[in-house]
Amino acid sequence: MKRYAYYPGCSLEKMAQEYDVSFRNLCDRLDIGLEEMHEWFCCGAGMVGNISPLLGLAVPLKNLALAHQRGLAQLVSPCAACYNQFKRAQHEVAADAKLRADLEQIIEYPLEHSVEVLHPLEMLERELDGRPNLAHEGVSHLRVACYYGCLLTRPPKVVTFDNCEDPQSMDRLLRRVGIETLDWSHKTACCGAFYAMVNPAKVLELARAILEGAAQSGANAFAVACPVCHLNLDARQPEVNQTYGTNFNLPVFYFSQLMAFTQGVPAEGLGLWRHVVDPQPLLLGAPVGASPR
Amino acid sequence: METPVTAAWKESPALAHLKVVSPEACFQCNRCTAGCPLLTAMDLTPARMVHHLLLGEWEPVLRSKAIWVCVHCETCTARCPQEVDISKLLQAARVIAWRSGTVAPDQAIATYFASFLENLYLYGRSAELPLTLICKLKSENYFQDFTLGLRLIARGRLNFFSLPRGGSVYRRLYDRVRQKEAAGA
Repeated sequence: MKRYAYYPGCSLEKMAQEYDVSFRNLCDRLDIGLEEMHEWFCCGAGMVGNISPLLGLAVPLKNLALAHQRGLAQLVSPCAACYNQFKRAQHEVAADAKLRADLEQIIEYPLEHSVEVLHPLEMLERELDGRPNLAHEGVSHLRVACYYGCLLTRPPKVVTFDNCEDPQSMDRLLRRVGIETLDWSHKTACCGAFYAMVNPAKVLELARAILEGAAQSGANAFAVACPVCHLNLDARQPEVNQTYGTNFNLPVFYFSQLMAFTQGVPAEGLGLWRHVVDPQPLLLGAPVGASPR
Repeated sequence: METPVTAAWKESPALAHLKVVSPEACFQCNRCTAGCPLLTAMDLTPARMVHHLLLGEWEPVLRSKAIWVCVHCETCTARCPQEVDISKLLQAARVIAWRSGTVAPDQAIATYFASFLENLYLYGRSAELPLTLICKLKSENYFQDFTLGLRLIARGRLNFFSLPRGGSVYRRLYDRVRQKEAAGA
């Protein structure tokens, strides 16, 4: 069994435990080995680089060095922000020998062997390639809008993930497990991210546009791959309704929750109770084997 | 145009490592501006900021609120037909504004960044309780998102009682970077 270094990141350790737990359970089901590097620390989250660019690069690179020290050649990073930080740091040092030498000194580790950084969507696509019949018929009532957000897909030259204006990898994975996904308008629109700390009203406006886009395409749920997208679409959904007089009731799943469900992980292993918009009636209320719409 | 701030930019060792992509290729198509999700909260549009920088006018950019509004969603950078890394230019502007003390008044996000770093120095990982407390104390804005907080606590999403352990690897890095920057690397 292949083993990947696993970097959950601060959000998955705390606020987004349901992403962490469902992803681990999914990998367990699929016999994919994750090895958490317990000594990991924050990736910088894009905040550190705004005060010290050098520290902003040193922090993700040191974490990758910790994975390399364990003899692991690939690292899986489920949080889109962490993923972006890793890819960005690797991109910068690849283009600048002096910068690389300075960073090697700072992190006290050579950078010649780079660890391959993968988002779970990339890793799963590779791992599931060639595996037959993963489809589950109890999810045929779902019509899911896959929301990729910003940091997973942009800038395309740095993250080299999928297509930055119309990504498909989450759609492909969910379709493979029997879930219908939709073409819709706001796949890679920005949710406002941490701007909510300063101006929640502006973020409600952006969240509303995304919710509206999904609703108009006929979606009855979202799938996301980033804890901040989840927070702004799920936890702020009641505020959107209150502010704009709308009545959205769109559960926001992590793609890992949906995939784990279809692969037989019991509902307790998905962390569904932690959502603000209760996803249980939609996901668990359906009779198994319900006929497709 | 050489201003004290421009000079600071050139001399600042902190910025030696921020390989700034030159704004010179910009031909003002305004695609960056058209795609910016936070445009309406900005006092300068991304295209205007790029044009100021192209003319060597750092002051209006450094003193703008707009540089603190950007959340680095990278839409502008991804779509620029001339491959100007607008998002990175704004990052550079933030660093200079931060270090030269030209942060526009009432920029709560600057407070948030500072809180974030202080929290990391203590714990190495992001921890809600210290981060929330440091940020609220610094901004004196105690009730924003109060109901959201309650909603999250009810679902076990905000755990105030477990703190991450061990910021020592981070602190060592932090100190080494400070030394390097002080040495003018």
